[in-house]
Amino acid sequence: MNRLRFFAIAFGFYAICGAVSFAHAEDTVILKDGKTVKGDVSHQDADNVYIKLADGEARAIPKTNIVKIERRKVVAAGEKAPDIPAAPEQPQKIPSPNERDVSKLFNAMKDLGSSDPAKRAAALELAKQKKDEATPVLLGMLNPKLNGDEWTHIGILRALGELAPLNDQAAQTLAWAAVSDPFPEARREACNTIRRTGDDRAIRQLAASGTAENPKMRQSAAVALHEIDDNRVLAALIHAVPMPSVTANLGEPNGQLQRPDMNLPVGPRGTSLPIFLPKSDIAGTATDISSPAADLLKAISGKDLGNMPYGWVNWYREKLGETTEADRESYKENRSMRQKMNAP
Amino acid sequence: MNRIIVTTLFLGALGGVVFGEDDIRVAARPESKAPREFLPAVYRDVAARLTKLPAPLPAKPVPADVPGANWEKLDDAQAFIKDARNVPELYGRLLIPPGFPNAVPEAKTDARIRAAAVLGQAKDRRGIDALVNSSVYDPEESVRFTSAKALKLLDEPVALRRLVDIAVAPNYQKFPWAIRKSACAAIRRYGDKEGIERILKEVSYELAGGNPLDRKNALRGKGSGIGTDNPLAIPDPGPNQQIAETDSYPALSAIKEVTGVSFDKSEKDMKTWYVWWNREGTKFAFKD
Repeated sequence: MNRLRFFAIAFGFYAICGAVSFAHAEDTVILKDGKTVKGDVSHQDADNVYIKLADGEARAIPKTNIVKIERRKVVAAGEKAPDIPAAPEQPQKIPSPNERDVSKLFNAMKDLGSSDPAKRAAALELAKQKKDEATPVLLGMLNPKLNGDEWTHIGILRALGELAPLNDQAAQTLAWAAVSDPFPEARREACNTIRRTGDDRAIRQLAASGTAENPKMRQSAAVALHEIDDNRVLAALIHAVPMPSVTANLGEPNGQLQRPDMNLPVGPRGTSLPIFLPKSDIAGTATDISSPAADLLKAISGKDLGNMPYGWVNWYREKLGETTEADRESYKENRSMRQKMNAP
Repeated sequence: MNRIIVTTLFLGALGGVVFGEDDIRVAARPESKAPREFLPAVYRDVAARLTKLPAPLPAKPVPADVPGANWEKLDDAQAFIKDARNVPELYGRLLIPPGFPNAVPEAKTDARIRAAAVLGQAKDRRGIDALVNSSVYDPEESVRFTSAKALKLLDEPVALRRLVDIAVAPNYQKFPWAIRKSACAAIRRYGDKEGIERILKEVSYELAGGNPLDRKNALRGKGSGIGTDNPLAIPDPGPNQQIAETDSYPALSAIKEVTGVSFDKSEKDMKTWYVWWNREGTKFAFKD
């Protein structure tokens, strides 16, 4: 009797384990061209079935391409499996003239990456003539999931510069390409296009990417902003660098004129030298010294000038050629004795 | 027999599943294509035949000379140019400087000069990498000159950007001054003012705010004291060794080398360079 009970428990245990593992098995979507996609079917709508692949990527598969979906999840006895119905068979769809035009344009735009200059020029001319139709096609061709090569991406980004002014979507795509295009030279071409067109929206997007949480994204955006070298964004970033909340720097004047602590009779011609001893109230140390704007400026300039806005203002003025070494020397020489002593 | 049939069917089905899955999967980064390779005899043969072509440039070329311009009515040369449009990799391989990996030993100086001219006349930008490398790294001055002039014929801004990248490279151990100087010469020979503007941009980043590699011009504006990230005001350590100015100021050295202009006192002020370029930029001419 005990043995029978033991077998019953063991059988029940294995049955439950099997059901659980079976419930975690993958769904299989069989496509019309004979291929299969395995993953976890998450949901569906009128047109598409959405499946999450094993590597975490989500894909939408049109129902018209699906023959069958095999759901592997276990259902309770007596219930019918909630299988997603395949799309009804449709007769062979003849593409509309508009669709045919887009396909034709897509193939023609591939010549932007041709090694033949004549073909490139012809494709560019066509893109200019059909700007409204060509722009979305060109943006779609920058999708890294399409097997475009480096020269095609470069040609498309160069063509977008010729098609300026661009719409919002194109500006966003340019900013994306400047940071995330898989080809390094294409990223630089995107920067070149942004610089040439002076597109504010793309630069704004890049500045936002430069302060994103993803460190790779921040670094890529900094490289792009260095390449674009737009003074407006540098000025805006410097303006965004905050002063730390604690500024109990001994060199900071507090606005009150104080008497010197002592006067030493060692000045020229018998005058006395005033001595100011540090008396500022030091409340504590700052904990918010760093800021995203200062970090981005460091990455763009390749120099660590600290986190104080005044340091970056001076850097900016030197970069623009507003101040020179002679100006700096003159400023130092013309400071008063009190300033030189960092006196309040 | 049955076992063989079953095994074959099983392997076929497995292959179909595996390759079918590969086809359907998408990748964020497209696969790069491996360059075409030819038999060693092909390289030897082309190198030998190339040397029979007349020289693409006069013995003492001037900046206006175009490599291969005298080949217009030469059928043999036109055949090579046509061939280079089909297989630029073949001529690019011949251009690899001797001593470098994958160099063709039979491609002597004469063959490399002609290969560069052929790639330039082909006007196919697939030859960019080979020409950029040759214009900077080739030990022969005549090959470097021809390659730089051939790069101009491709009319592709990417070539100029790559030359500028090498000329202003801050890694002075990987790109010593001799290599950067060679890249500056190639920029001069390329002869596009955009090159100067790109270097000027890098100079502005290099000069502004001081230079951590220069003890006499240390970083400025870095706050110290309480309320900063250096509360004890510890001075930054300077470079641990004396670094040559060409290495501590790569962009400044490059602009001086490319333009041939230098200023005695205020060359480390960006204002000096902006004023000069605004005044002289429109009438500036490259010397090579």
